[in-house]
Amino acid sequence: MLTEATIISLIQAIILIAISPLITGLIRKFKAMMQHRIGSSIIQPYRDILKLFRKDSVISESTSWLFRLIPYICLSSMILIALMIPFMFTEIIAPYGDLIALVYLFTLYRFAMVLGGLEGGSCFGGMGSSREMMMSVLIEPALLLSIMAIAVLSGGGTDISSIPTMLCDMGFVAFCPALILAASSFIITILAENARIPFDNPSTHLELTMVHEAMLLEYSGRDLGMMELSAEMRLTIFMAMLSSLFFPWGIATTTAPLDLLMGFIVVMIKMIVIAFMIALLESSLTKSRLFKTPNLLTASFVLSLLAMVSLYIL
Amino acid sequence: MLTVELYLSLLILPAILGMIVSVIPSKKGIAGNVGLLLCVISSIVGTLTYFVIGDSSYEFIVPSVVGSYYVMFDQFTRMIISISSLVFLMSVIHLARFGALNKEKYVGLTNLLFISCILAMSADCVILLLVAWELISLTTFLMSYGANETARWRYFTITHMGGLLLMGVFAAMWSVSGTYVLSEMGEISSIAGSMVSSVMIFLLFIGFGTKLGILPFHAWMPDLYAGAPIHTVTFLSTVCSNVAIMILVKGIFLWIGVPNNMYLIVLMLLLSSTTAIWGAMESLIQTEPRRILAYSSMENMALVTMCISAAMLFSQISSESLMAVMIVAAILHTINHSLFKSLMLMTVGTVEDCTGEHAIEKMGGLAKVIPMISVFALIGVLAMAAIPPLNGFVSEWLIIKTMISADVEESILRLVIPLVVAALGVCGMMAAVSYARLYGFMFLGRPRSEMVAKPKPIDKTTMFPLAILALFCIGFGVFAAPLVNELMDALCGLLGIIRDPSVDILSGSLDPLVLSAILLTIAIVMLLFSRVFKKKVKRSTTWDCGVELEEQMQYSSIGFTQPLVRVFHPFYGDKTAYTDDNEERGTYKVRFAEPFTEYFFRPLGRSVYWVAEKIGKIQTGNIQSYLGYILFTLLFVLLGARLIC
Repeated sequence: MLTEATIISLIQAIILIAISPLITGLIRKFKAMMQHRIGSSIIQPYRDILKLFRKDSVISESTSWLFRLIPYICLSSMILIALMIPFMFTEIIAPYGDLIALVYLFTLYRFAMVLGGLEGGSCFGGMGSSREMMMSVLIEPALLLSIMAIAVLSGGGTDISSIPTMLCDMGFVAFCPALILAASSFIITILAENARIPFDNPSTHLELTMVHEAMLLEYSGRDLGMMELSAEMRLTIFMAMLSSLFFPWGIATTTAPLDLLMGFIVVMIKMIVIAFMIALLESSLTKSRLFKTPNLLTASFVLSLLAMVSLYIL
Repeated sequence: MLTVELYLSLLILPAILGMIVSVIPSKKGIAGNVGLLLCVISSIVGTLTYFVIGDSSYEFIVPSVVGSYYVMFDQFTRMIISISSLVFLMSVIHLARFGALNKEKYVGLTNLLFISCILAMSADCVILLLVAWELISLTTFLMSYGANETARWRYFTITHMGGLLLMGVFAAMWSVSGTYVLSEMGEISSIAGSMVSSVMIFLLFIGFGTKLGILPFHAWMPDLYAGAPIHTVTFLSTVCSNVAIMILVKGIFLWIGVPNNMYLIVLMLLLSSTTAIWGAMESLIQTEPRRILAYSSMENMALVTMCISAAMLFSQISSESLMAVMIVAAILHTINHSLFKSLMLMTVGTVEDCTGEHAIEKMGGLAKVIPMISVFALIGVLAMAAIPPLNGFVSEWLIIKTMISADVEESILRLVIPLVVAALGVCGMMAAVSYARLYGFMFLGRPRSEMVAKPKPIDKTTMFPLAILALFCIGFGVFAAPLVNELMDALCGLLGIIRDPSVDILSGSLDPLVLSAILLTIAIVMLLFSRVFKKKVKRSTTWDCGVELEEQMQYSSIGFTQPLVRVFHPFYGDKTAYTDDNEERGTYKVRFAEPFTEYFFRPLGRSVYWVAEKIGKIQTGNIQSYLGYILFTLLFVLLGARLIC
């Protein structure tokens, strides 16, 4: 039962969870550099979360039993997803769900967070939830379709761990329109899902303009820390999906130490490149008006639909 | 194992007795309670159907023109009967402590409805099936008192139009095959040819579609759901839909057989997916929980018919075993729908009963005052929104998985697959938004009216069925694998397909049991962790920017989906009117007209009146002109007959 592959896949899940604040710090650092600031240290997110975990929390009187559970639901669903996706090695520790389950687990996270936004009975929470839901109606289908396109492209069905192997084996044939279309749709999805510019700007000082942060307004202390950590994990998981499911070349397929080292280095380079890309996009764009975002989201949906259609037509 | 005679008498006799008892006038509603008890007995027997009898059939010897009436219980039918009776049982228990108008008569009709549902599901001859189906329509019509009269009559008209179509189809089946026993019909499409059987299937689809709410025959649903007694709505939305879907599946795949007509399949897919998206979209703007659930029923049933059409497609361009998996997905979703929808409808009924409020805009904060109900509602809502690992997720998973793993021939029809997956994604997410709204604005936040802040206490008897249904919602999700296995066996046995293990989709890639176990373990470990390293928690007011929050100073349910309404604006047919009479206050009104009623049924009705008026003119004449009409009619008929013969 406890084979080498199991241990390594467990280690990769732990690495994925452990580096998630680092990735956030890295993106912040890149952004600071582009704005000619020194910026905070890249381990600042770890410090923030540790500090929040040590704090007492204040919760609203109008919240119900569900409110205190929501951080646990959000964080555990993200940990479960981290166990389900390949990062530097093709095997995974929890092969009990597939790509469709993955998408629906993201829905669980979102659903819980939206309900949490409504818990306090304040206008900000409700507004955040409302906007999040508006975007999700367009993002979720795009996410589902782009991931399904990869599943159909690889020919391995919806089994997560077989996709990187299959795509690697395909070689250059895999660089077909479907992959490019699905990946570009997925990149828009990353920005939209993770409250990034142009969809959302968590660092403004006005709650009225926020989406994601507005939902977290009533959380404090450890609960807030858990919500922050799960948001950081979600970003890292999306980036890992882009680098290991859409462009898996370089991923370790065997348990040979050299292979694994290579896989780790390659995936880290990919993550850094994606982080740089996100920082670049965020620095060169402005947050768009709320009612302009559906245009971009629809574009993402259409791209993913085209990816899927091209697989069945070409 | 019981003999079929014993089983049938245990099943039907108590219900018949209950029907008779409940019309006897009595004091303090004793008759009603006895009737309820008898109905409970019948539905317990119904629930056990799957376990107490084997595959069997029975002949009711009736001296009629055509011969005896037959019923048949194959494995497939028994499964559906069991689940439907379970839902029925729970609704009847829920009904027990529910104050209702004319309760005795209502109970009598409930008994009749139970009998007719069982007979419709197990009927093996055309006449019994049609009679039972008609009885379902009539009893639900009678049971829907309280709804506004227009809605009630609209239901009556539409459902009888559907019944008429079904009568036509079954009569045609009878005359083509030469027998009125359904199991002896064989494949009609091989006798009747592709064109005739396509028309039959389409009429069958529309006929049952009137009950399921296929566009544009959903016009009765929201109003009836909003006004009728909650148990009637539950029966309509769950048990009756199960009956309709089951007969539809048997009709298409067993009795008629799928014709090789792609136009039919594409038309059905188009109608179903439009209905699904339409239902999901309309449910976003509804202001009463019941209306939200009405549109949600429509959406879910459209998903099921979408699967059935996809199964027809697969039988043509892929393998029979894939077709079977798709049908199983459809049936699984029907079963799951009946579980979570009955849970949600009864929860809403309970909430309405104890608060006296019907509008979602007046609710809020109920999770604090009735926490148990809010737990059941949350489970129901999560199941409806297809959140893993609940039952709604498993059936939606099976649908998508089957769609994309389809090994289909090269043809332009392959294009259907990505489009269907896209439609599934869009309507699934929209529905999730509408359920988040339903739960969030009923149970979370702060109360928006006084009655909601202090509801009446809730009886334990009312809680019990909700708890059982919630458990089933979890159980059918977590232990989905054996259920799907049984369904697959039953369906393959029914259609005579040899089960192909290579397309057994649930084996392997999804294990909801382990998945939920891991999820639960992680959550519990974290909870324990924060118990051990405990931090202080202080309760304080919601952050209010320094202004004391009043009950209306929170987000409203209309505002919640307003951004989506803006995005999908052209489809909603919303009319805004702004008046600014005096300088102090202007009014701003938004009215959402259901476009199908507004732009289809109303003009249709007006044109019927117009035609009637024109015809009316020839009716107001003197005796000479009537004689003239008769003369001309006679002339035309005779001439026509002469020319044709």
